[in-house]
Amino acid sequence: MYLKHSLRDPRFFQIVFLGSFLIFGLSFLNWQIPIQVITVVFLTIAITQALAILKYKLTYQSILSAIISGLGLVLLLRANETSTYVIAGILSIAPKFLIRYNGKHIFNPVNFGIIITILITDDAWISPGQWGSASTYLLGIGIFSWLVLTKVKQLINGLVFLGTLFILETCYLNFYLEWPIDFIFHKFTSGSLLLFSFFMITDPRTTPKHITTRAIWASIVAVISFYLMEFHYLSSAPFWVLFFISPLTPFLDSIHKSKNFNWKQMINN
Amino acid sequence: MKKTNLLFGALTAFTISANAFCGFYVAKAGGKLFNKSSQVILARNSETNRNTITMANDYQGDFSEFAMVVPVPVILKKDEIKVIQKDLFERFDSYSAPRLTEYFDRNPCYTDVQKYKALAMSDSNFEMVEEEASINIKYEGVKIEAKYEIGEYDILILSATESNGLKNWLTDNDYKIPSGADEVLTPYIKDNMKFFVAKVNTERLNQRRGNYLSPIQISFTHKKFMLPIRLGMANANGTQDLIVYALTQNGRVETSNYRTQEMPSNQKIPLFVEGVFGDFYKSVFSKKWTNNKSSVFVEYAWNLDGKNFAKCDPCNTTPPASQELLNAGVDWLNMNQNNWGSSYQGNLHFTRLHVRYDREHFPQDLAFTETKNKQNFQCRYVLTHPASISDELCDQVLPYYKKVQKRRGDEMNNLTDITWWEANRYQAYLKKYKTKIASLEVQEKDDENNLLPVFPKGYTPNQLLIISAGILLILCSILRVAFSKKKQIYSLK
Repeated sequence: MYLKHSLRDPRFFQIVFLGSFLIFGLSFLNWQIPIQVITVVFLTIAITQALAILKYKLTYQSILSAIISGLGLVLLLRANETSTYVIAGILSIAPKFLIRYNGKHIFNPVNFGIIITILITDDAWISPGQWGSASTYLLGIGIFSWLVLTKVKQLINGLVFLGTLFILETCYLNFYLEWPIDFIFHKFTSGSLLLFSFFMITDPRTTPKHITTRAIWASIVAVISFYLMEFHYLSSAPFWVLFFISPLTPFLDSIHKSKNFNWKQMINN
Repeated sequence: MKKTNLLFGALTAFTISANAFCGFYVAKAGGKLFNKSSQVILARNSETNRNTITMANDYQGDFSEFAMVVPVPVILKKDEIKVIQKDLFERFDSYSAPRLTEYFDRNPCYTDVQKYKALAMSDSNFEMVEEEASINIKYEGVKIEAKYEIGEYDILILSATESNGLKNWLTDNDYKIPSGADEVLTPYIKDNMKFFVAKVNTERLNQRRGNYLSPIQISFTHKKFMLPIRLGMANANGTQDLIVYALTQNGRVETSNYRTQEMPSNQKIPLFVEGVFGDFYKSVFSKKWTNNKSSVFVEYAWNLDGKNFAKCDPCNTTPPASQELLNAGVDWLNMNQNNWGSSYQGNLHFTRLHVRYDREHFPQDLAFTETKNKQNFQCRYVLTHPASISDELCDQVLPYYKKVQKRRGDEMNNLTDITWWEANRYQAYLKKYKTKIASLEVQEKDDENNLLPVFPKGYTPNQLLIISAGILLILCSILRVAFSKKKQIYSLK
C-alpha cells in the first residue's frame, strides 16, 4: 500500500528517466564522467540532505528531490576537479533550507548549484556540445511519456518556455534572417535545452504558484534567453536567466495568490 | 640510430599539405573549383573578445583565377588583415596530428629497457571535393566598404542590403559561388555581416619568391566565436573536411551547436599498421564519422600553460614556440619571461577539432564555446613489438607467447572496432604465434613422455653439476644439525 502510494510520486518517474538517460550518456555517448565523480556527487548530496532532514525534521521522502538534484548535476555540470563537484553538491541542497521566503525556497536547487559553482570555482562549465540527435529522440520520448503519465499542468512552464522560444527563434531566424527551417530544428535538438525545459524550469517548488503567473514567468525566461542567445551568443543563456529571475518569484506570487505546492498533496490528490 | 631514422621517415612519408579555408574557393569564370580539406587557426582572447582567424590556402589551379569570399561580422581595417608564413600550419598540424607510439616487449628470459618511439602523421590527405558553380547573370549594386592591397592579394570588404545584389556583384566580377550557397547570403546580410573578398594580384605574386599562396589572417573584436562554413556548402553531394586549431586562454574549445566528441584513442593496434598509418587513421575517422555525421571530433587538446612542462607526450615535433603563437594571434601571453622551458608565461590551451561537413548534417555555422576543460587529449595508437627470442631458452617463453597471442587478438579486435578493416584479411598476424605456441606445446609434451631424460631442457651439464652438489651440501648440513640437536637433547636428559 505504502509502495503503491509512493510510486504515484512523479519524482520516481523523474529519477528513473534521468537515471536511464545518464546510463545512456555514459554507455552510448562516451561521456567521460568517472565513477568516483558520480559517487562523490551522490554522497555529498545524501549527507547534506540527511543533515537537513535531521535539523528540520523532514520526512525521508525529501531524499527523492535530492536524488533528482544529484542526477541533474551529473548530467549538466562538468568540472576538472572532484572537489568542484563537492561544492556543487552542497550548493544544490543547502540553499533549499537557507535561502527561503514565505515558506518557499527561492532558487531552483540544481540551477543555483551550477551557476554559483561556475562563478566561484573557475573550474566548472556546462557542456552544450555533449548531446547527439539520438539523445534528443530519447529525451523526446521521456518527456512525452511524462506528459501522458502526469498532469500537463505540471509541465506548463516547460511547454510555455519552449513554445515561446520556438516562436521567437522562428520569427527571427526563419522569417527575418531567412535561414532554412532545418536551421531552427537543429537549434532545438540541444539536450541541455530540453533538460532545462522539462526538468529545471518545471520545478513546482521554485516557480510562481498561480498557473497564469507561471506561464507569464516562463515566457519572460524565454524572451530574455532568446535575446542573450541570439544577440550575445551565450549558448547556456537559459540557465543564467533562470538564476537571475528566480528572486522575482515571491513578487509574482504576491500578485497572484495561490497555495504553496507540496509534493505530498499532489500525490494525495 | 634506428629511432631517429624511423621518426624522420614517418614525417617525410606523410607529406603535409596545407589546405583551403572555411569559406569557399571561387574561381573566375571557366576555372574549375576545388575545395580540399581546409585548415584554420583560431585564436581567441576571451577577455577582450579579440578573434584572429588564419586561413590556409592550398589552391592548386591557376593563381590568377583564385578568389575567396568569407563573411565577417565587422568591416576590417587594413592593419587587421595580414598574410603570414605558411609553415605555421605545417607546424601546428604536425604538433597535434594523430600519433603512433611504439613499445617493445622485454625478452621474458632477460630484462631489457623498455623503449618507445613516436611516429607522426599528417592527415592532410583527405579527399578532394569538387564544387559545382552556378552563374547568375543579373546584376545589382553593392557597397564597397574598403579596398586594400595586402601581400599578393587584392582585398575588398563588401556590404550589401540584399542577397541578389551581392550575388550579382560577385558574378559580375567573375566570382562564382557554389550552387545552393546563395541561400545563406540573405541571412548573412540581414545579420549585418560583411563580406571579405580576395583575389590574387599576379604582378605582386611574381615579385615574391615561391610558387604558393600565403595564408590570410584577419583579426576583429566581436562576441561571436564562430566559423562561417555554410557559404562553402554546395547542394551537390560530397563532404568537406576542416581542421580547426583553436588557441584559447581557459580550456578546451567545443562546438555549442553540434556534439563534440573525442576520437578513439590509446588503442593497441596490430604492428602491420605502422607502414600504413595514414590509411589507418583515415579509416578510423571515416568509421567514427559515419556513425556520428553531425559531430565535431576532438583530435588533440593540450594544456600549453607557460608553467606546464609537458607540452606534449609523446611529441610529434617541438611544441609551438612563443613567436609562432604570436604569429597565430595569441596576444595575451607574456613573452619576455622564461619559465619551465617555455618562452612565455600565461594560460594557453590548444584544441584541434576535425569536422567533416555537408549541407544535410550541418545546417548551422560552427559556433564555439570555450570550456574550462583542461584535460589533455591526443589521438594516440600503440604498437607493441614482441621480444625477439631466437632460441626458446626458459620456461617463461610459452606463457609469454600465450600473452602475445592474446594481445594480438585484442589488437585485431580494436582494429576491427575502430576501422573498416576486416580481420580475416590479416589472419597471418594471429597465426604466427599460434604456430609458435603449438610447436612449443608439442615439445613440452615430448619432454614429459621422455622416460630417459638426459638433462632438463635449458640447463647445461655444468649447471646441473653445481646444482646437485649444492643440494647434496644442504642435505648434509640438515642431517648434521638434526643429529647434533638430538645429542643436545639427550645430554640435557
